[in-house]
Amino acid sequence: MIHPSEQLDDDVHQRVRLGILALLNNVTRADFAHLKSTLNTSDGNLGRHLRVLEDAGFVDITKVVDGRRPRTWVKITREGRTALRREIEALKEIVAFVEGESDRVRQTGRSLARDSSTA
Amino acid sequence: MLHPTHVERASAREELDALTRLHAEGRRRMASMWFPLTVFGIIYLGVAPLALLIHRNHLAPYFALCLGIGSILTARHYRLRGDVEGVHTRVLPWLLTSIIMTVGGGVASFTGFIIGSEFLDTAGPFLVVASFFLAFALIVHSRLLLADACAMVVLCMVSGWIARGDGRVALQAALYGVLLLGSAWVQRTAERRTA
Repeated sequence: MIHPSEQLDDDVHQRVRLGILALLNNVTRADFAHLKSTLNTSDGNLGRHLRVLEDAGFVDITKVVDGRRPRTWVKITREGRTALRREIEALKEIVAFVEGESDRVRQTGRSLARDSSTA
Repeated sequence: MLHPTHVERASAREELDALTRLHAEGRRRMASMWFPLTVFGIIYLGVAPLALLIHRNHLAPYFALCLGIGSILTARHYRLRGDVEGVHTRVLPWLLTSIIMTVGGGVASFTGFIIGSEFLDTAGPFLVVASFFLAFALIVHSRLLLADACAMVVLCMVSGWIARGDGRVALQAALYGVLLLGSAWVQRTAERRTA
């Protein structure tokens, strides 16, 4: 049987990258400053994770000049939405898998205790 | 000592919780509708005198014009707000809801006129709007929009006891207008407080 953690995508399964995709999932686009403040991360860290997501084709990055200051807008792609959905499903399966395993362990323990008391 | 599976479950749970929080943040932004509520409120207040001046079945051009202007203004509002806040919300769900809601109201009114049902002709379009508000409230998890939808149904019933025909349409429109402007004010005040 395949463990559900094998379904996790390495490009997505990271706190900041997962946060970026989740934030972008419900909006048209967000800028670098908004992502940085919401995810409570540094410029360098966010830039690095955005590059990973862009290379994987999960986000589109557009750099514009707004007045005199440069601005970076980030948009989730269709592949990004699919990857996020898969990641959420995998995480849910992990929780369900571990809970199911715990139940099995508890039931085995109970039946062993019953057997030993009747013996 | 924790078993590795417990750590894995805790980690997966934490990540799911974090995702839920971020998802809720996006929904909260989508539920921020004080501007379109104000636009709709003004449109409905405009309907009240028009329904008395011209027949209720001649209001389609007014709604079409207002919907066009209102959509442009709302899209512009969200764009400017997005530029300032650094996050552009999705306008399409709101826009589609407004168009389908208005067309649905027109269809209800026309059907009522064709089959000779005064209730459907006068209250139908307003109940269609209430049902769309209810659906949108459930999608974006907004208690304010949910309260609006319930209040709209009550206002339709109350108007039916007070007036009939064009008078009923005018009364319903005026009440809807006041309700929507009130809701917009409540939401705007709440947003300012949390900002």
